[in-house]
Amino acid sequence: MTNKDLIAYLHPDLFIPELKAKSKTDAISRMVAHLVEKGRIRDGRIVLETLKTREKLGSTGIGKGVAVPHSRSTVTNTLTLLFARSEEGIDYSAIDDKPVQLFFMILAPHQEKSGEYLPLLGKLVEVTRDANVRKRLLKAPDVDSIAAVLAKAKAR
Amino acid sequence: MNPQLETLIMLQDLDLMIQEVSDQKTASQMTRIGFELNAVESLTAAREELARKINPELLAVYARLMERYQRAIVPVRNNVCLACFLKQPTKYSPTDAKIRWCNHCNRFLYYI
Repeated sequence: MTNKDLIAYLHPDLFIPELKAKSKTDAISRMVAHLVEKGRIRDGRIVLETLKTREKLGSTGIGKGVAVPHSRSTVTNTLTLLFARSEEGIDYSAIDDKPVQLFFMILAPHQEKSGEYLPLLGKLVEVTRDANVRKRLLKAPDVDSIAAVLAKAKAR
Repeated sequence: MNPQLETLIMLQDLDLMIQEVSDQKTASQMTRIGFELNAVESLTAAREELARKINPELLAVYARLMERYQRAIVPVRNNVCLACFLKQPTKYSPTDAKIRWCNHCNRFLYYI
């Protein structure tokens, strides 16, 4: 997947500039509520349950202040990416125990024609390995600026 | 939404998650990306807990459909079943309290 492909998944409706949450479950729950509010899914409870169960396999807080909560679900028919930030950081039980500031929530249908679910997960992890990219994502004021940061991100 | 259908969808999502992480190719791709995949058995325990909440007759239908189609609950958009692509009765609606089945392939319907 190219940076351009990744950027295509960004949407102004699916950006939470300052996520207010006290815990991992609270953070996931607020992101799911945002997807419901923006009409991307109808039943938040199902997705919340699925995402919470996914966390039992291991934290999707992959370290360095980044989390990528993700799952396939029956309730969506399109691959969806939501980006949220917390300047202060949220205790997410990440693998390095550091608070998470950048969240990329990914929902995918069970049968997805494009086959881009895993490549999208991989691309996000790859671009956020760069400390400079992470720093700039935290400061970007809107989705266009986030897209500009991701467009210039290099694979590491 | 019918609470039993809601639980069935949670069960299907979980069953398909178990299938995905049990598939060696997908699991190794996930691990390569950087995600930990520990304690798959915790998913089995969660599955048992969910299954206990479902009416046994419905659960048996679900099991039969999963065996036959690998997905027992399928999305519907614009009144079209997105598994067999055939039209459903217009009287069905997303806010239906009843559980609906596709008139053609017999799978449970979820209105997205």
